[in-house]
Amino acid sequence: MAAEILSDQDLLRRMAAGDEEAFVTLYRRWSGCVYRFARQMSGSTSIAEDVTQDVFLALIREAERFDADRGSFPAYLYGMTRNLVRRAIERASSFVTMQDGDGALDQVEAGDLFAEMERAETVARVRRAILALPVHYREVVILCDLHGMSYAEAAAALGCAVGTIRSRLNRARALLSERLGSSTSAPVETKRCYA
Amino acid sequence: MLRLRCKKFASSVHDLVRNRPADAERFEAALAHAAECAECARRLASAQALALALHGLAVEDERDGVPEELERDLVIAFRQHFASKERVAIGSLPARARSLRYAWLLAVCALFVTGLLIAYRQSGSNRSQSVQDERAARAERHELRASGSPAIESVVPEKAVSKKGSLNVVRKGVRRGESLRQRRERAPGRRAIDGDSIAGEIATEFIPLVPPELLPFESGQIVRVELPRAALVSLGWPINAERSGEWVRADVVIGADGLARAVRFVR
Repeated sequence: MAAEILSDQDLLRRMAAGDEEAFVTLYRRWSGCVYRFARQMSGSTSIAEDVTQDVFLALIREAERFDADRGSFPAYLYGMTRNLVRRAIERASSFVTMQDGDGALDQVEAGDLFAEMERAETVARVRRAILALPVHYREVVILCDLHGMSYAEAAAALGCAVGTIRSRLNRARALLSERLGSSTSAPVETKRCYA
Repeated sequence: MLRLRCKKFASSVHDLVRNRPADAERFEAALAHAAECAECARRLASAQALALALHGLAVEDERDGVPEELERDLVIAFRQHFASKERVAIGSLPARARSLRYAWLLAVCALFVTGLLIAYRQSGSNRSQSVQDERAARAERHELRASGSPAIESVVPEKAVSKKGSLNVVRKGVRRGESLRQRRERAPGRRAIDGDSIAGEIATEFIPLVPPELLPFESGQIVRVELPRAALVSLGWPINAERSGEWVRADVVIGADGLARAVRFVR
């Protein structure tokens, strides 16, 4: 059976038995998510690389630690990544600025230059705004708004209740809107509406 | 038609924007409400702008791939991990062999210690036996002197009573299964009665006290004793009556069972 169509759990089982193809398949399936999540959380490419490496090394060494009864494999993987990123951020102690930022301008055609510059600038500001959020707000925004997770999946990955995810996300979005207000929209004010 | 109020609109505007395709009716209601409420219209515009910005960031980040060397390094780590696991599995065999070797070593040590203990106990019993023998020899000597006709067989082995009454231990080993003739032949410096001597001593041949066929001899000791000359009578030797009070030296072969097997006289 081709490894590509196997479930994560089957791949993990094969990987634990020494199947290199299963490991490569699992890595290619999930490494992008892990790497992006780590990079978005930390703002650092080097931290993202280190965390991605550590996550998959942990999978190599302790594949049998995953228990399907306790949650899905993505939740397990994101949970592990989140813990490692948090530790890396604490070690770095200071906020990490974007190193390679938005290099998309290198590939821009001359005609779209201004539009691309504007888009790149917007992306950079959104990234900075996310990085400026407290970690517990940042992670829910990244998981739900950037990685497309449902509240339940994010709750499983972060080990908290769905209600907590919902409230954190509302607060995080409000903070983001405030910080991006000048370019996106006016800040949201809570006023009584009689409509 | 579904109607939303401002509070509900504010709390769900981001979800509405995010789930627009899946919740079209709710979104239409939100749009209708925003058309009537300027504040909620602003909230909706803000949420849409944020969603757009976040989507742009997500798309931008999708372009970033994981460095290829990371996969290469991890595959190497994967191979090394399972190679080391195999080494551990193979390495367990020598470990078992080592433990077996230690077990053998322990067994040998235990045997050695047991042997030492046995030897110590035997020497202890020999010492206690010696004390008993010494007492018995004294008593025997007194009896012999009192009666003047001792039985050779009753002479206590290993100890010789000197003229002065002190105990002189004279031990000469006899090999297991070795006959008296063989033992004599083994001692080149010793001659038989006709010329057999040790350091100036002259000795007779060993005279069996018990027929060997009746009491087989396997091992024992030669004990030098002093006897009254009168005791020679019991062996059928003629004695000079005038010298019957004198003492003669003799070597008595004592078996492992403590019984005298043979005797010879030494001058």
